[in-house]
Amino acid sequence: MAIKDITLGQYYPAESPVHRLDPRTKIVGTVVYMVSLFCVNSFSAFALSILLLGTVIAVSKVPLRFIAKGLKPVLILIILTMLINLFLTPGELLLSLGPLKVTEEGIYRAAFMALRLVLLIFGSSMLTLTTKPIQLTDGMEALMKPFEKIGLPAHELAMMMTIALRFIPTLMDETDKIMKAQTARGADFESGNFKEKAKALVPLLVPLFVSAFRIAGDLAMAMEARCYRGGEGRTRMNPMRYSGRDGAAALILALYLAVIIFSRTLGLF
Amino acid sequence: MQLKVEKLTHIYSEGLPFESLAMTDVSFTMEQGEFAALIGHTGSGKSTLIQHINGLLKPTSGHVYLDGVDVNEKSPEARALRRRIGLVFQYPEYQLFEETVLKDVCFGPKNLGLSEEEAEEVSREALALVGITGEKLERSPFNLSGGEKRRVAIAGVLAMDPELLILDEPTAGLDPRGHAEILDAVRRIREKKNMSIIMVSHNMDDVASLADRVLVLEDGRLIMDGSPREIFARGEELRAIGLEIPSAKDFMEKLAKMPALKEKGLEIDDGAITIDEAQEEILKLFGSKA
Repeated sequence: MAIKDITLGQYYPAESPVHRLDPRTKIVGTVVYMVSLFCVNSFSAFALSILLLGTVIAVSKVPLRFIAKGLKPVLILIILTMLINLFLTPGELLLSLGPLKVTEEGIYRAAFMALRLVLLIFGSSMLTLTTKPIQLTDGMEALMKPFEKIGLPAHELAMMMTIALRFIPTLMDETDKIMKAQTARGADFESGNFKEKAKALVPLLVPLFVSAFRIAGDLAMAMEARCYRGGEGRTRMNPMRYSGRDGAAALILALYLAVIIFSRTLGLF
Repeated sequence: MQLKVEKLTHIYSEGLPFESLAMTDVSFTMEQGEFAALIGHTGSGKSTLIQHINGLLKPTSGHVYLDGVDVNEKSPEARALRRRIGLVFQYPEYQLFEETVLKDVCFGPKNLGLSEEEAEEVSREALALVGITGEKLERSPFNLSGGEKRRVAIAGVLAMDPELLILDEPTAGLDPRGHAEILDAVRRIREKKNMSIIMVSHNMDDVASLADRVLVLEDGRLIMDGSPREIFARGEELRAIGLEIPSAKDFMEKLAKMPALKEKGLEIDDGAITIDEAQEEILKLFGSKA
């Protein structure tokens, strides 16, 4: 019943240059970094990627074990990908265990794949760990703005995300409260087979839905009362501004990307 | 049953950056039949304390004993004892879920293993105790007034026939009528059942008129424990931690300081904490004058 301990959006509060970067820089930076990971095909280039991410992590002051927690749910996927690549890549035979064949290329590909996945997860976790969910949606809204011309409701999408994120903790609290109240009335959420468990959820879900609708109604009323009418002509309380820090980050990223692309096309490393 | 809390300490999110100390070294004992009020500023640890009593929260250190058995033991004995605690949370009406009032109240007793008929019988009794009778039993709980919903939720816990009833701010957010109805229900429960009751409250008038013991929490520590008269005599200390004293007591204190009374050489005891006691004091004053 440790619902409160589940971290979602998992922002790690700290004072660091990475935290203070403009969310737009961080979102674009993360996307660029992820794309770059798929261009990388040598260990030396990987070393460069690891160096960059390692520096960002060190500067951000987020403890490594916090970031590593994000690996847990995908660990099986990583191991599976490694195994498949290890045994099913054709090439120079090194070892054979019955139908399973280990090739030199297989080892390389398995290692690359695992590294790539780990870096992808670490990279994207860094974005959510150093950016508040609200800043994140603000950043996304700004980045989607140009697409409004072709009918993409950027503001509405961002507002939906903001509200959803904002109410996750509220609904978690609510779930925790209702669960405790029903437990105090002798409800049992843990034992029994699948059907019994599903039935035991009714006393939890009904009040939760009632609460969710009540909260939604209250919020809609509060927004109406403050004359909310969508994104048209809306200004912000904390406008996003690029600073010199963002320029520096963009420059580092551009350099990194250039090196990666050059090394791939020219086969430098 | 006897409740004994011993050196209870609780830390939320221990080991994380957001770790916070919610409860420090709280100890007290409560005997069967006592009515204790738990008061304290918002965030002083009242809800944390009561959730420890039926084992919903586990202490970081210290123990909670019911009739000498640690509630956090894994034995069937401790499990049975935990079920003797009836906990009514804040805004309990949000836990209602069934189609009819009666069915909702039956949820608890049925979980205790009672048959359909037995459950209905105890549920009707519990509903009558909180003043919900007649056709309301077949209505949807969602169509009742706020005060009624709350009384149904309280009945849902009462129907499990607890020996210790814990009420977490049972009157919060109700209109004066709903408030009075809840208090009446609490009084009836007190009279008809030999239950120990712990009531968390911010309303000092309610505390003064109902409780026979007051526990004061501040910043996770139990700083005062005594009869309402003793506790409310320490008005200055209570105000210093953001609490109040009953309005009758406040009135009597102000009255006692009136220069007009002093000039006439009249003295008044400002110890009264309820309106009845204040009335008696004032009548005495008239008596002495006559």
